[in-house]
Amino acid sequence: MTVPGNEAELLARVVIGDRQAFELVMRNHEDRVFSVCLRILGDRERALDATQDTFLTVFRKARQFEGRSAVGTWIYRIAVNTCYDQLRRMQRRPTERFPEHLDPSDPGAEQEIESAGLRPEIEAALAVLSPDFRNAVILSDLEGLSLPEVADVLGVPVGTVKSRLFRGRRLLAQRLGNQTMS
Amino acid sequence: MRPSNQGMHEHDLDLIAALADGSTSDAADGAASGAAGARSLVETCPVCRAEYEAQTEVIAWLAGSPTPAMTDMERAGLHRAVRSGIESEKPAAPAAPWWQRLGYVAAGLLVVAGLVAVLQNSGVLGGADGLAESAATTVAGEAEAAGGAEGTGAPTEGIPFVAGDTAEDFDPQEAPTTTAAASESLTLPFAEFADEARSSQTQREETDTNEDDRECLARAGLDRHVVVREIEDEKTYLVVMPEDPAEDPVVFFVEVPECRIVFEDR
Ligand SMILES: [Zn+2]
Repeated sequence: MTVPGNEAELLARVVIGDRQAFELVMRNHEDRVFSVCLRILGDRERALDATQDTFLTVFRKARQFEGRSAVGTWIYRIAVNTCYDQLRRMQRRPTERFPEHLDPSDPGAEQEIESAGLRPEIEAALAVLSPDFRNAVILSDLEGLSLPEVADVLGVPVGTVKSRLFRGRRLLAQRLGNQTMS
Repeated sequence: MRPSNQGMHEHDLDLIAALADGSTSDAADGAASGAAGARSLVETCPVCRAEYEAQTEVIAWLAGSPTPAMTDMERAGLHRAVRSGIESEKPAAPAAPWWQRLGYVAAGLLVVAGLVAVLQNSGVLGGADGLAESAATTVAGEAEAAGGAEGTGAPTEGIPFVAGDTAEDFDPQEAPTTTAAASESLTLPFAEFADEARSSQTQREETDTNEDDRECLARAGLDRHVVVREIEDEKTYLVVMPEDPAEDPVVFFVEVPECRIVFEDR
């Protein structure tokens, strides 16, 4: 994990066009951005697309970073918004092309979907939650962000995050109670 | 919260849920409703205990989920795509245009400064305007510090000499009026127009998108969007945002009459 102060410095270097600094920032956060996007979008290719868009936005908007939050939470916020946009666009244009850089013949990717990809039963359970509840649960309980971090990423007060989490988990518990969990 | 039919208390389920995820300390506003109180309720009240167990089970269940990871191939593809995305953005450059433009302005200043110096030396400006002189030396000095970037025109590795000092002073709100006009040859600073559009949210509710524009938006795949303003440059662009103010303020730039999205800013 990188010290937040260093990351803010890195981002300041991105503002003046330092590509190396940008790549460092990207390497620090690409895994979690991908994971968040995959959990929100439920589709690897779309998640990779959203991850790409997120970092292009980070590059473009680096100078808008005001240092009020950690660089990481700023980036995850962009990622969540990028995913929302993608979901909206998918509704608008149901037959969207997949990005070119993703090779469908990549055997690793296919295997990944099946094995280490998302757990189907968790996906199915999360799917019944409204996006507000779902994203709070994803960021907190799956990604392990702290309450203030989740609040920052979602742009809502900590109290709102808590009540979304509590209610979200309550709904999940009901669903699980009806199925596997005793 | 619902009235208790088990014990003599109202079940504060959020307090119990906070105990389950360990966030009670920051939630403990009331004196009696801290973690200790919650813990004793879990022990004595079946309703509170059920809530506690449900919350902890869900948390544990979710925590056991593996974190999805990119394959090496996916990661390499991502890096390639982002790199080429940045490259292809450069000419149209929403990321860079402001410093590029400042680079041109600085280059212009250098020319002016050079002229002043030449004229001074040749005695045309005999009385040596003090202001012009100091301006000339300052700019020339900065250029020298930057490693003599004068000849190159477009700044490459040496760019920070302009950006370094001005980045913090740069106000995106001012940019559309000042910098767009100053640079005919460069693409419009769409990202900055977008920020401006976003900052005047009321426009979205007040706007009255006409029939032609609506048809154009539909052709661009932007139903339920409105035109918040138009930009006249060499071409005309509609600045478009979602109709619903509750939606994320994504700003689209639609070229007319082609009705094509040329830029999208989120
Ligand atoms: Zn109780």
